Amino acid sequence: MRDDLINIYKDAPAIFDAIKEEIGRVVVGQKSVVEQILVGILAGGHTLLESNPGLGKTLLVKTIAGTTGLNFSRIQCTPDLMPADITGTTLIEEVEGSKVFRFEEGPIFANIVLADEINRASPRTQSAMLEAMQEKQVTVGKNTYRLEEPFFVLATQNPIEMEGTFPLPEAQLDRFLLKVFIDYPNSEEEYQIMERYTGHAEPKVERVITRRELLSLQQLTRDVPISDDLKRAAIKAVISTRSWEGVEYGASPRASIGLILASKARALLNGRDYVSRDDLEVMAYPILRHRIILTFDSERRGVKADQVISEIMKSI
Amino acid sequence: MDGSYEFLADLRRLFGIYRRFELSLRLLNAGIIASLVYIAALFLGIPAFFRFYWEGSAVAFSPALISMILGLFGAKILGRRSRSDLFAHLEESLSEKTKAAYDNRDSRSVVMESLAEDVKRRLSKVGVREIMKRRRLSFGERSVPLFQAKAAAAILLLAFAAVFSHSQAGEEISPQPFRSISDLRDRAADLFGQEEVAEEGASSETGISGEIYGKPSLAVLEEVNLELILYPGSLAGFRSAETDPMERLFTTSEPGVGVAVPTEQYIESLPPQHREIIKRYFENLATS
Repeated sequence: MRDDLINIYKDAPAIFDAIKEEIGRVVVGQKSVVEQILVGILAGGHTLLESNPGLGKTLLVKTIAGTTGLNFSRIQCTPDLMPADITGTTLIEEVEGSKVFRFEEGPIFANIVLADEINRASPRTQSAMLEAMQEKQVTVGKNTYRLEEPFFVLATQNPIEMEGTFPLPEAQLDRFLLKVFIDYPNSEEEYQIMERYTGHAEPKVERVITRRELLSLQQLTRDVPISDDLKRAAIKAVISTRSWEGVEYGASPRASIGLILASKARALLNGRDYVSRDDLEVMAYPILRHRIILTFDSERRGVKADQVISEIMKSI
Repeated sequence: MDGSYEFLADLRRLFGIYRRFELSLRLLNAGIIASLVYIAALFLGIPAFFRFYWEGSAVAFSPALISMILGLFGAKILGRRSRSDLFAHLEESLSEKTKAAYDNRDSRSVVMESLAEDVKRRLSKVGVREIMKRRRLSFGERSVPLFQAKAAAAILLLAFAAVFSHSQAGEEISPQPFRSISDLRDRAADLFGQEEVAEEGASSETGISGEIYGKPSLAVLEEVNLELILYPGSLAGFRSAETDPMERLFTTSEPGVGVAVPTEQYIESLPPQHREIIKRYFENLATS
């Protein structure tokens, strides 16, 4: 086991380079977004992707899933989607003349779950995902089913077309480790996208990492050393969100844990065996932005959560 | 691994170097502050004042001593305010690495072991010169190594203080009152010396006469006659004036018999309407 870890640790930079290269075959640019999603996967957290339509959220998640040897399932969220459609349901089956109950697993029983347009699902269905996301288990009737490790939910939502949507409640948002914004590509990137997707051959990705390797990398992520100073800085940043001017509600202690874990994952992803201050500063945005609720006055003035985080990070 | 990472030995070595470096900086701070205080004292004439009154005594060196004490005290306060640690004196990435490794020295993992090896390899190349180079004094965009800058400042200030204290310039700026005090001291010393001689010897050249209260007395000081008048009850102070030498003749006489004589003049000086009453009062007083 230890030898395996040593080998995987040695191979980690090559594995990450290969993943990035494979993703790069399909997704043009968006390196920062790819990095943040990989951080989420290494830290074992769920990621919420937000962007305007047509920026490749779903493609990105499918591509990342394709580079791993993991089970992948996609849930297209709609207002009429029922919890059982996600978790699964119990069926009555006839076996050798007698009727037996059999649990049919829903799409949540996968390693990587893409919950597309999650804000279109009803609150009831969104809540059904809470237990799965937090406890990594599903309870149907009197039975509880463990979800196989690793388990990530990569959810997408777009900030426009709010009609007929159900914004995620704060409790559910808090369960996402990261909230990642996908921005428009620049003109050169858009040119490449056009070139790549207007021919006959669609780019394909190869599997470059196994489930076992991914689990080992998750274990190594937690082992990355971090100094006490940076731990205190992370806590200070999170606590500052609770009393910062223009913030109605700040981040919970779950954010402190998430910030440290994500910083460790970023360090490992960048081939470092320690967490640097830069890791903390970069990861503060996707960790904190969905956990900060601005006051009405701040929103009226057009203040964004990222601006508040930037000020907080400068102050610590 | 036998329970402790090898980089800790290198870190201990660097902690020792760093402590000595910090001590040197504090001593330099003390030297700079003491020099500044002493130079300020020189400008105020304080060392000259002490030398004047306590020349040859250890007290004469008290301004220098106090400057040194203030220097040490100031250096201690500065040391507390600008507290830093060894990690801040390492190159940035090495500093972060070392801090992370040090704070996780009790944990055992593949990543930690890798970090410990890397830190050991890099710390073994760090010496006192690297630490000295990292602590810098900035002047806008330029910066110089702090230790060298402080050492130069301390040497310059000490040299200035030494030259200044031994130059004539120091005397010239002595406050004027000291000069008059100096004159007085010389005169007092002369007088005191002569009195001692008079007490020891048989001659009384100072010649202060016995009965001096309320009467002019004569003191002869360096063949100059001084007329002294001491007032009864005052017990201190005298007024003196120089007089020409003169012959004084003293004669003795028998005491006469005193007779009480009523003074009319007194009665006459009283208001006419009260004269009789006052006269009767005194007559009654005389007969009672």
